[in-house]
Amino acid sequence: MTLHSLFRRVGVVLFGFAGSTAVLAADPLNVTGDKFRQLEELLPTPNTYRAASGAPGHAYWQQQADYDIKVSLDDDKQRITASETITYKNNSPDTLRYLWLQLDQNRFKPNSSGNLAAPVDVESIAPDTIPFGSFRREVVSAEFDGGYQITKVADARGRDLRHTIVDTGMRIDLPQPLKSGESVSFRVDWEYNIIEQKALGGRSGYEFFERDGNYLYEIAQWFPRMAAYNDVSGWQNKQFLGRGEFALEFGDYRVAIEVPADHIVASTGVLQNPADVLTREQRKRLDKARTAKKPVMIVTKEEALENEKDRARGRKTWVFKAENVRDFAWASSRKFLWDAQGYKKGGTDTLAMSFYPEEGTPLWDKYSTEAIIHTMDVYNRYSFDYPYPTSISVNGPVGGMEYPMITFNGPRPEIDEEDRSKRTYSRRTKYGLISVIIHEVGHNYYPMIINSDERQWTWMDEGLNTYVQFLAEQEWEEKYPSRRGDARKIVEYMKSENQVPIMTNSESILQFGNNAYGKPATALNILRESVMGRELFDFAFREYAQRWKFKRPMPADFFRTMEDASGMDLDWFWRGWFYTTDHVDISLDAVKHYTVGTKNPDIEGPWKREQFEQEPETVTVQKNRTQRMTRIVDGKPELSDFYNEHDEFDVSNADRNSYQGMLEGLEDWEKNLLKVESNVYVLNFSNIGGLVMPLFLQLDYEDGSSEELRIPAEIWTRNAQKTSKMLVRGKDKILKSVTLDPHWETADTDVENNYYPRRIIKSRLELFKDEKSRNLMKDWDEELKED
Amino acid sequence: MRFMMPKSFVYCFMVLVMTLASQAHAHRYHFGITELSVNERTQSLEISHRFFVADVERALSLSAGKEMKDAQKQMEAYVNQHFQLKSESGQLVKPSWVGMESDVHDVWVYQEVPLEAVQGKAFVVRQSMLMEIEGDQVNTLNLTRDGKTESFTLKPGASAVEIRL
Ligand SMILES: [Zn+2]
Repeated sequence: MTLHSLFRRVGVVLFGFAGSTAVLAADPLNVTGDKFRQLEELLPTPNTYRAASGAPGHAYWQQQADYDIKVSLDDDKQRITASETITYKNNSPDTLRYLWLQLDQNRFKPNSSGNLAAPVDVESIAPDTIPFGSFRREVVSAEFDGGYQITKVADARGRDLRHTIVDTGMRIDLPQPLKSGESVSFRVDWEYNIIEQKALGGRSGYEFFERDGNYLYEIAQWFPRMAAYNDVSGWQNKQFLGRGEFALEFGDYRVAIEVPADHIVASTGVLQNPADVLTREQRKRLDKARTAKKPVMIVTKEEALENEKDRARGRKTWVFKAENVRDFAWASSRKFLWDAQGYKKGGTDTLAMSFYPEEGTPLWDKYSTEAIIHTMDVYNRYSFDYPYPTSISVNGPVGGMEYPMITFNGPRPEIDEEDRSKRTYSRRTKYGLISVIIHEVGHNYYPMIINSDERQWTWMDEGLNTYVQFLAEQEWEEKYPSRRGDARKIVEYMKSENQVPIMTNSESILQFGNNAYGKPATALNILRESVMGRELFDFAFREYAQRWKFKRPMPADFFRTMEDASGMDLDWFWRGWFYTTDHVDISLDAVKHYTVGTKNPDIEGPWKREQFEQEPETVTVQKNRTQRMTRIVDGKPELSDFYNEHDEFDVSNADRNSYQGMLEGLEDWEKNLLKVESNVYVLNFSNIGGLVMPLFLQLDYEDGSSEELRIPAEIWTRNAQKTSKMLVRGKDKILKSVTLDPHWETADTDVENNYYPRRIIKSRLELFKDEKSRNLMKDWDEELKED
Repeated sequence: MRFMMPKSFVYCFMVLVMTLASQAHAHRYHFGITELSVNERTQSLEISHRFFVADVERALSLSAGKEMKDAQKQMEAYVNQHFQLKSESGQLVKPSWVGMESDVHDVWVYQEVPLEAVQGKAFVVRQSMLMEIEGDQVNTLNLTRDGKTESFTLKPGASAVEIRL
């Protein structure tokens, strides 16, 4: 006897669909086929700089760039004039004959690549119009005298250095090659006109307040800074086109910022000369804030309103120092209110501070500083203790942007211009503000400290940060309206075919928000909740942060660390979610029911008869009976014989003898298997979307019981298009229904094929209609209330 | 491009005002998705548009204090202006308005057309929502039937596509 003949099929197939045709999903990198094929051929070969474990290698190196900058802000002309000394230390094993600097402001030169390459819609629906946003940007860009004017590039002794400006980059040719381990200092002087943020967009700029004639400056990408040089890209000198953000080196900064005497300055770093720029009262309040349990006003609303009325004639210089940061940004205005609260926990000892114009109240005073502290509280747990001495949130024209220790965040309440004390804000504005602060403060971890290359890989900072942002939002309040993170929110995007893989260079990404923020954040959340489990995932994710803080990780370092620290082979997951545009659509095609065939003719005979009798009669048999058809054998008994007495299901002694003979030939374990009285189910699945995922099943039985089953993705290893699972259940466990992915945790794009038996799934539009008519009826029926 | 016509100037000016009045917001997405799905069961071509509330608020010039759900009329006019189905003979097929709903982030607009009116015919579908204010707006058009989805990428300069239903 062979085991494959063990089962007998129960009746007809309980449920079955013709196998769905598996559509080959888009696979631009041609990496599907074997969905479990190891990633080694796609990842760079490990070396002494980047180990196979995903950790920095024993010879890991990175450059160091220290800055000493003096800058002056012209509040009449909205102009920056500055001078810097950069000390660049070559820690690479290579000799450098030239250095590359980034001139990000050149993005706003009328003829920059970023401007020239911007497309426009010439056929929008209304005839004879063009997109206004594009038009305005076009006109303002053409008129605006933007970009750096580099006035000096000189060595430490003041001798001019040869330099070549290439759009948003500048190459400085060194008189002597810079050998490994050597440092070089040089000086750059420059000026530029600050952009009006609302007109030109971007990650910095000024805002003009017409009512009181004041300016608010958010200053970033404001100094020529070292391009990154690393073991993977050499010089990262891809042009700044406006989308792919930044690749930078760590260094120490001393920055002296000269502004009108009545301005308040918020900045990366620690203020070195508070006695020169702050009043005694303000310094006292700052001291108090360090240990306060809620934000303390350093500049109150009344003081700010008073301050914004006058114009000081003098100037003051605010000096800041920052250690081990990859960038430096600041903000300045005489409109600022300022609040602060200390936060000390584990290795973190910092001052959370918010700067905002009076127009930001009553939203900013209530939420901003609280949101900064909450962010650190959560992020510290999932990555590392926040190491910097301050963390600032500034309200100004920029919608949301991150810099070390300082973030720019946009949302404000609505002001009734007739009565300025009347202020309202929508739910969207409130949660928009909290979310953007969590997001931007979270960027301190990814990528300000875990210094990934943003110009190349947007997902490494935006995706990872959006994932932790989701965790932080969910810890803010129950049912927090998070935009990204839950699997069900990414379904529409996942089933769209016009995608590029997450592993796509920043400038080539289509559908930026979904590709670089939403999909990676959701993928990581799915990996945590549904594939690895929280404990394993959190340990590995934190290990990545610990390994790469103050260093520059690449995608492979992340993928490898997650596997190295968890002991799980996740190559299939990275391959599917990060290297392809496949989506999850798994179909439960059929559920077949078997019981064990005992081979005992005295059991099998009656069972077969029972099965036969359960089959419906043919129409012919039915009609013949109703018409009382007479048969020839009825009238002639001599025509009957043995076969009229016994049908095919009757058991003969020959059957019994042959059964006994067979039993004698069986091993004991085989005999025992024949006695098992189980129900056996075979579930057939097909993979329509292409992405392999674990199978999450809910099984409901006729006895009212229910169970959940989680089958690892490896069930697809040998055949990624079709697979089957056998379930052996007790003799009373008769399956009533099966649901695949009952909690919607895999972003399965078509849930109609997730049910046995099939269920009709109403479309979103149908549900909306149902809801609408129900509410209408409810409203109609409501009784009139009388006082 | 003949944008010197007076009409267009009025239009542009309106947009200018709304752009200045609007909130800046975190990382702009400039992305929308329109789903056309053939529902054989209800014999309907279901149309749903999903856009970011923030983007739509800017397009409709809604203030930060106003909730999206109170802007039905404006939204209906706006959608009808920017989303159009045109038959081969150049006839406009006007979908009926089902309604809209929104949460903090997204707004969904629902429309439908009886299946018999469109099935088997070819159409030019134009979806240019938000393209008039953002030069890098990308709208995805998904056409779903029998569980299969075809996608089209609509951008400024190419905001229409021909499909057969
Ligand atoms: Zn971000």
